[in-house]
Amino acid sequence: MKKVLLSLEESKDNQQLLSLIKKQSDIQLVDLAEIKDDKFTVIVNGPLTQLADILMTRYKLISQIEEVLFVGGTDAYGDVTPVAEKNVYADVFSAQQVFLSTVKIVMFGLNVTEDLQNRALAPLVYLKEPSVFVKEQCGIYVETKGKVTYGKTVTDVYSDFQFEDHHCEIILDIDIEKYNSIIKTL
Amino acid sequence: MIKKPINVILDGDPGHDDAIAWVVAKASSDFNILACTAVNGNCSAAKAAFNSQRVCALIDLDVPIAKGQDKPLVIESLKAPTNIHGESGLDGPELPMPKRELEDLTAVELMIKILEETEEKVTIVATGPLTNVGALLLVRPDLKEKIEQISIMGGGIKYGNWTAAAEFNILIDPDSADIVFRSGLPILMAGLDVTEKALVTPKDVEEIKKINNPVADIVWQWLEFFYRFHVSIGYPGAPIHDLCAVLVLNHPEIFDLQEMYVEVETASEYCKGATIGDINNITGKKPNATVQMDVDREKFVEYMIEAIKCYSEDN
Repeated sequence: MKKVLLSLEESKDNQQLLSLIKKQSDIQLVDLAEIKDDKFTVIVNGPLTQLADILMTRYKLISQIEEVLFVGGTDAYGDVTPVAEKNVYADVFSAQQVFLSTVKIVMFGLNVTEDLQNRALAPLVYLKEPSVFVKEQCGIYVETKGKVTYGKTVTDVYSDFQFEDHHCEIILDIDIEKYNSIIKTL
Repeated sequence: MIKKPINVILDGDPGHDDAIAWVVAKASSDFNILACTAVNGNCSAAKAAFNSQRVCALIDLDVPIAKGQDKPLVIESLKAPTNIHGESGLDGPELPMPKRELEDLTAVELMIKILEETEEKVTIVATGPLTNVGALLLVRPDLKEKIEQISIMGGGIKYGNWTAAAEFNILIDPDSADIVFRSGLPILMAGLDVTEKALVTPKDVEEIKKINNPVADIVWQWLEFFYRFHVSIGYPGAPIHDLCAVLVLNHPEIFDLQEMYVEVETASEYCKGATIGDINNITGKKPNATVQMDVDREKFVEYMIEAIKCYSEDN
């Protein structure tokens, strides 16, 4: 049984995610107030504000987080600015808090989610069948001081992995056919 | 119809790929080379100037050569790497000694002199950090009207190489690059997006070995030196970055060219020196640069080899 904590902004897409997750017999939604020692996965589709708040206040939970499946960011091109994606741009400082933490983050960025019908479902498909996704371990940080690059998720995946720390994973490709067929089974 | 040659000033920090770019430019009747100016980058400005003199001696290019300032416009210089181009900035085969003295003028003064004297517009091919060009535009903005365009090797729309977000030439002197991109002049940008596809493979080097003229003999040794480093970090060959900035002028058809607004990040934690290209026109700003995003590698190598063959006596 997979325990999952959701941090979603209100949207139709996230409604669909929520109702599909509730149908899954192998996934159990957890409530922040009731979490004890269990390991859990966090799915974020929205700004990283809530997760950053958790990391800053309830830092004992950090070791219990298996991974954060984050829908947002980008490997290069953005949608709010030339380099920043909406969910990161909405709260750049919280996003950087999360990426600076030791928690493992799997980033479903614009580079791959652009081609999806509903990008909110990507983490769920990932939990069901990770082989749908091509990913690479790398470093990711969020630019908080740039004039032009404010809110950019900076990754070293294309530049010789030159950050010292590589506790993130970036999704680089999705087998769309497989992805769609898994969604039909949910 | 005879095409009018393109007047160029070659500004760079030779450097193996700068040198090859100059070899190719000199070989082609498409270019009228007016001067060479050396900039601090791959190596110190002094080394770059000496290398410029020796490259000019090799290819019999008798034009004024001048040395630029020793550091970037605003910030301090990063230590020049020696693992890519070697201690001299152009390690490998022994080159002829200089045939022509350096000018008494600085690089920027020489650029100003050439632009003041010219009646036709001049294209600046800048294959190192943009310190000399940035200084020129700051000091004499009135001379912009004499500049046709600036063809640079630098930056990367999608990624960097020296840091995760920044390419070496722009990172060395982001402030100068910022001046250049804001200048309003047409910018042709060969960033890593294209230059890392402009690869010369060991098989191509074998072709050049067969040409058997004094320039070819040097070029294949440069290439062997240059790709030793690149193969060690996993490339299938050596990217001849700087040659893109030349070939885009006389063979634009072999490149995928995209117009976009490019801005240089000058104040940032992770992205200093990054060239941010608004590839999807999110800002709505008018494009200021024509960016090379891809190249027909086969043609690229073909034009390079064709140029090197021009140095054979029977040619």
